[in-house]
Amino acid sequence: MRTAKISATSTTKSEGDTRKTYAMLRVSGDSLDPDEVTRALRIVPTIAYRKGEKYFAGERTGELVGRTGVWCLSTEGIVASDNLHHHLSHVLGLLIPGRQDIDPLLHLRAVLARRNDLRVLLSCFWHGRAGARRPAIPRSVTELLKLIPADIETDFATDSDESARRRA
Amino acid sequence: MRALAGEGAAAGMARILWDRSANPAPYVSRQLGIEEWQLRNAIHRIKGRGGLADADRVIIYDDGKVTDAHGEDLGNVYDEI
Repeated sequence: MRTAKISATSTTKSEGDTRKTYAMLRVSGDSLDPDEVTRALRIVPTIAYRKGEKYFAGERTGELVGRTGVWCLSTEGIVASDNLHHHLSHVLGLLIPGRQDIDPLLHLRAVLARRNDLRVLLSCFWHGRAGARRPAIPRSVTELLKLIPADIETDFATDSDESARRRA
Repeated sequence: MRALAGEGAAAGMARILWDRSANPAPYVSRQLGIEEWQLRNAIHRIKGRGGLADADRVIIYDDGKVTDAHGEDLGNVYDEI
Protein backbone atom coordinates (compact mmCIF):
# COMPACT_ATOMS: atom_id res chain seq x y z
CA MET A 1 0.00 0.00 0.00
CA ARG A 2 1.27 3.45 -0.88
CA THR A 3 1.28 5.54 2.25
CA ALA A 4 3.10 8.72 1.33
CA LYS A 5 0.81 11.59 2.17
CA ILE A 6 0.28 14.97 0.63
CA SER A 7 -2.10 17.45 2.15
CA ALA A 8 -5.34 17.41 0.23
CA THR A 9 -6.17 21.01 1.03
CA SER A 10 -5.61 21.97 -2.58
CA THR A 11 -8.10 19.48 -3.95
CA THR A 12 -10.16 22.29 -5.34
CA LYS A 13 -12.54 23.20 -8.07
CA SER A 14 -9.48 23.79 -10.23
CA GLU A 15 -9.53 20.03 -10.96
CA GLY A 16 -12.47 20.74 -13.24
CA ASP A 17 -10.40 23.37 -14.96
CA THR A 18 -7.58 20.96 -15.66
CA ARG A 19 -7.06 19.73 -19.19
CA LYS A 20 -4.02 17.59 -18.48
CA THR A 21 -1.69 16.91 -15.58
CA TYR A 22 0.91 14.35 -14.61
CA ALA A 23 4.33 14.01 -13.04
CA MET A 24 7.46 12.50 -14.44
CA LEU A 25 10.33 11.16 -12.37
CA ARG A 26 13.51 11.04 -14.37
CA VAL A 27 17.05 9.91 -13.69
CA SER A 28 19.53 10.83 -16.39
CA GLY A 29 23.26 10.90 -17.01
CA ASP A 30 25.92 9.41 -19.23
CA SER A 31 26.82 6.63 -16.77
CA LEU A 32 23.23 5.59 -16.14
CA ASP A 33 22.49 1.88 -15.95
CA PRO A 34 18.68 1.86 -16.16
CA ASP A 35 18.45 -1.58 -14.56
CA GLU A 36 20.08 -0.25 -11.41
CA VAL A 37 17.34 2.37 -11.03
CA THR A 38 14.62 -0.15 -11.83
CA ARG A 39 15.93 -2.47 -9.11
CA ALA A 40 16.33 0.40 -6.65
CA LEU A 41 12.79 1.71 -7.11
CA ARG A 42 11.19 -1.70 -7.78
CA ILE A 43 9.16 -0.22 -10.63
CA VAL A 44 9.22 -0.65 -14.38
CA PRO A 45 9.87 2.71 -16.08
CA THR A 46 7.82 4.23 -18.86
CA ILE A 47 11.00 4.38 -20.94
CA ALA A 48 14.66 3.77 -20.20
CA TYR A 49 17.83 3.53 -22.23
CA ARG A 50 21.58 3.88 -21.84
CA LYS A 51 23.71 6.48 -23.54
CA GLY A 52 24.28 5.31 -27.12
CA GLU A 53 21.44 2.81 -26.97
CA LYS A 54 18.57 2.94 -29.45
CA TYR A 55 15.08 3.71 -28.21
CA PHE A 56 11.72 3.99 -29.93
CA ALA A 57 10.54 7.59 -30.21
CA GLY A 58 7.26 7.08 -32.08
CA GLU A 59 5.89 5.85 -35.41
CA ARG A 60 6.91 8.92 -37.36
CA THR A 61 10.31 9.29 -35.75
CA GLY A 62 11.32 5.65 -35.39
CA GLU A 63 14.42 4.79 -33.38
CA LEU A 64 16.77 7.38 -31.96
CA VAL A 65 20.09 6.96 -30.21
CA GLY A 66 20.27 8.08 -26.61
CA ARG A 67 22.51 11.09 -26.25
CA THR A 68 22.61 10.33 -22.55
CA GLY A 69 21.13 7.66 -20.34
CA VAL A 70 17.50 8.12 -19.30
CA TRP A 71 15.24 6.32 -16.85
CA CYS A 72 11.80 7.91 -16.88
CA LEU A 73 8.56 7.10 -15.13
CA SER A 74 5.44 9.07 -16.03
CA THR A 75 2.24 8.93 -13.99
CA GLU A 76 0.31 9.64 -17.17
CA GLY A 77 -1.69 6.52 -17.91
CA ILE A 78 -1.18 5.25 -14.35
CA VAL A 79 -2.89 7.82 -12.14
CA ALA A 80 -6.44 8.60 -13.25
CA SER A 81 -6.86 12.05 -11.77
CA ASP A 82 -6.91 15.69 -12.80
CA ASN A 83 -5.37 16.61 -9.48
CA LEU A 84 -1.59 17.01 -9.71
CA HIS A 85 -1.28 16.14 -6.02
CA HIS A 86 -2.54 12.63 -6.72
CA HIS A 87 0.20 12.21 -9.29
CA LEU A 88 2.81 13.52 -6.87
CA SER A 89 1.52 11.18 -4.16
CA HIS A 90 2.02 8.27 -6.50
CA VAL A 91 5.65 9.22 -7.12
CA LEU A 92 6.31 9.78 -3.43
CA GLY A 93 4.70 6.44 -2.68
CA LEU A 94 7.21 4.77 -4.97
CA LEU A 95 10.10 6.37 -3.14
CA ILE A 96 8.69 5.75 0.34
CA PRO A 97 6.14 2.93 0.17
CA GLY A 98 5.51 2.92 3.91
CA ARG A 99 6.61 4.19 7.29
CA GLN A 100 8.77 1.12 7.72
CA ASP A 101 9.92 1.01 4.13
CA ILE A 102 12.12 3.73 2.76
CA ASP A 103 14.29 1.26 0.88
CA PRO A 104 13.57 2.59 -2.63
CA LEU A 105 14.66 6.08 -1.59
CA LEU A 106 17.79 4.73 0.09
CA HIS A 107 18.62 2.48 -2.83
CA LEU A 108 18.22 5.35 -5.26
CA ARG A 109 20.55 7.45 -3.13
CA ALA A 110 23.06 4.61 -3.23
CA VAL A 111 22.89 4.53 -7.02
CA LEU A 112 23.50 8.29 -7.13
CA ALA A 113 26.44 7.94 -4.76
CA ARG A 114 28.05 5.36 -7.04
CA ARG A 115 27.49 7.40 -10.20
CA ASN A 116 27.93 11.04 -9.45
CA ASP A 117 27.00 12.36 -12.90
CA LEU A 118 23.38 11.25 -12.51
CA ARG A 119 20.68 13.85 -12.04
CA VAL A 120 17.20 13.24 -10.69
CA LEU A 121 14.34 15.44 -11.80
CA LEU A 122 10.67 15.51 -10.91
CA SER A 123 8.93 17.25 -13.75
CA CYS A 124 5.32 18.34 -13.26
CA PHE A 125 2.99 19.10 -16.13
CA TRP A 126 -0.29 20.92 -15.80
CA HIS A 127 -2.47 22.66 -18.37
CA GLY A 128 -5.70 24.34 -17.39
CA ARG A 129 -8.54 26.20 -18.98
CA ALA A 130 -8.20 29.97 -19.37
CA GLY A 131 -8.33 31.63 -15.97
CA ALA A 132 -7.79 28.41 -13.99
CA ARG A 133 -5.65 28.58 -10.87
CA ARG A 134 -2.30 26.85 -11.20
CA PRO A 135 -1.54 24.10 -8.71
CA ALA A 136 1.05 24.53 -5.98
CA ILE A 137 3.76 22.05 -5.14
CA PRO A 138 3.36 20.94 -1.49
CA ARG A 139 6.30 21.54 0.80
CA SER A 140 6.30 17.83 1.69
CA VAL A 141 7.26 17.10 -1.90
CA THR A 142 10.08 19.61 -2.09
CA GLU A 143 11.42 18.46 1.29
CA LEU A 144 11.42 14.83 0.24
CA LEU A 145 13.13 15.64 -3.03
CA LYS A 146 15.95 17.30 -1.11
CA LEU A 147 16.69 13.93 0.49
CA ILE A 148 17.47 12.31 -2.85
CA PRO A 149 18.52 15.00 -3.92
CA ALA A 150 16.29 15.81 -6.88
CA ASP A 151 15.31 18.94 -8.73
CA ILE A 152 11.75 19.87 -9.45
CA GLU A 153 10.51 21.47 -12.63
CA THR A 154 7.02 22.85 -13.20
CA ASP A 155 5.53 23.29 -16.63
CA PHE A 156 2.24 25.00 -15.84
CA ALA A 157 0.11 27.02 -18.25
CA THR A 158 -3.47 27.74 -19.21
CA ASP A 159 -5.28 28.14 -22.47
CA SER A 160 -4.55 31.51 -23.94
CA ASP A 161 -7.37 34.00 -24.14
CA GLU A 162 -7.20 33.68 -27.89
CA SER A 163 -7.72 29.94 -27.68
CA ALA A 164 -10.61 30.35 -25.25
CA ARG A 165 -12.26 32.84 -27.60
CA ARG A 166 -11.98 30.47 -30.54
CA ARG A 167 -13.50 27.66 -28.51
CA ALA A 168 -16.43 29.77 -27.30
CA MET B 1 -4.82 21.66 -41.31
CA ARG B 2 -3.11 18.43 -40.40
CA ALA B 3 -3.38 17.24 -43.98
CA LEU B 4 -1.67 20.40 -45.15
CA ALA B 5 1.18 19.81 -42.74
CA GLY B 6 1.48 16.26 -44.04
CA GLU B 7 1.65 17.50 -47.61
CA GLY B 8 4.49 19.80 -46.67
CA ALA B 9 6.36 16.90 -45.12
CA ALA B 10 5.80 14.70 -48.14
CA ALA B 11 7.31 17.35 -50.35
CA GLY B 12 10.31 17.56 -48.02
CA MET B 13 9.64 21.19 -47.33
CA ALA B 14 8.93 21.17 -43.61
CA ARG B 15 8.80 24.72 -42.36
CA ILE B 16 9.92 25.90 -38.94
CA LEU B 17 7.00 27.03 -36.81
CA TRP B 18 8.83 27.59 -33.54
CA ASP B 19 12.48 27.96 -32.56
CA ARG B 20 12.63 29.14 -28.97
CA SER B 21 12.97 27.78 -25.45
CA ALA B 22 9.66 29.12 -24.17
CA ASN B 23 6.31 27.35 -24.49
CA PRO B 24 5.06 27.56 -28.08
CA ALA B 25 2.73 30.44 -28.88
CA PRO B 26 -0.92 29.59 -29.73
CA TYR B 27 -0.33 30.00 -33.45
CA VAL B 28 1.94 26.94 -33.44
CA SER B 29 -0.81 24.60 -32.22
CA ARG B 30 -3.20 26.27 -34.62
CA GLN B 31 -0.82 25.60 -37.51
CA LEU B 32 -0.51 21.96 -36.46
CA GLY B 33 -4.28 21.63 -36.14
CA ILE B 34 -4.23 20.65 -32.48
CA GLU B 35 -5.11 22.30 -29.18
CA GLU B 36 -2.61 24.22 -27.07
CA TRP B 37 -2.61 21.66 -24.28
CA GLN B 38 -1.99 18.85 -26.74
CA LEU B 39 1.05 20.63 -28.13
CA ARG B 40 2.44 21.49 -24.70
CA ASN B 41 1.86 17.94 -23.54
CA ALA B 42 3.61 16.54 -26.61
CA ILE B 43 6.63 18.79 -26.17
CA HIS B 44 6.82 17.97 -22.46
CA ARG B 45 6.78 14.24 -23.21
CA ILE B 46 9.32 14.55 -26.01
CA LYS B 47 11.71 16.59 -23.88
CA GLY B 48 11.29 14.24 -20.92
CA ARG B 49 11.94 11.16 -23.01
CA GLY B 50 14.94 12.77 -24.66
CA GLY B 51 16.56 13.83 -21.39
CA LEU B 52 16.02 17.54 -22.02
CA ALA B 53 14.89 20.11 -19.49
CA ASP B 54 11.74 22.15 -19.97
CA ALA B 55 13.88 25.22 -20.46
CA ASP B 56 15.80 23.67 -23.35
CA ARG B 57 15.13 25.13 -26.74
CA VAL B 58 13.45 22.99 -29.35
CA ILE B 59 12.50 23.55 -32.97
CA ILE B 60 9.00 22.59 -34.11
CA TYR B 61 8.26 22.04 -37.79
CA ASP B 62 4.95 22.14 -39.62
CA ASP B 63 5.02 18.36 -40.14
CA GLY B 64 5.10 17.93 -36.36
CA LYS B 65 8.79 17.07 -36.19
CA VAL B 66 10.64 18.29 -33.12
CA THR B 67 14.41 18.68 -33.01
CA ASP B 68 16.85 20.08 -30.50
CA ALA B 69 18.66 23.35 -31.07
CA HIS B 70 21.22 21.54 -33.25
CA GLY B 71 18.62 19.98 -35.50
CA GLU B 72 18.82 16.47 -34.03
CA ASP B 73 15.53 14.57 -34.05
CA LEU B 74 13.69 14.26 -30.74
CA GLY B 75 10.26 13.11 -31.86
CA ASN B 76 7.07 14.14 -33.60
CA VAL B 77 4.16 15.97 -32.04
CA TYR B 78 1.62 13.80 -33.88
CA ASP B 79 3.07 10.66 -32.30
CA GLU B 80 2.10 12.05 -28.90
CA ILE B 81 -1.52 12.93 -29.65
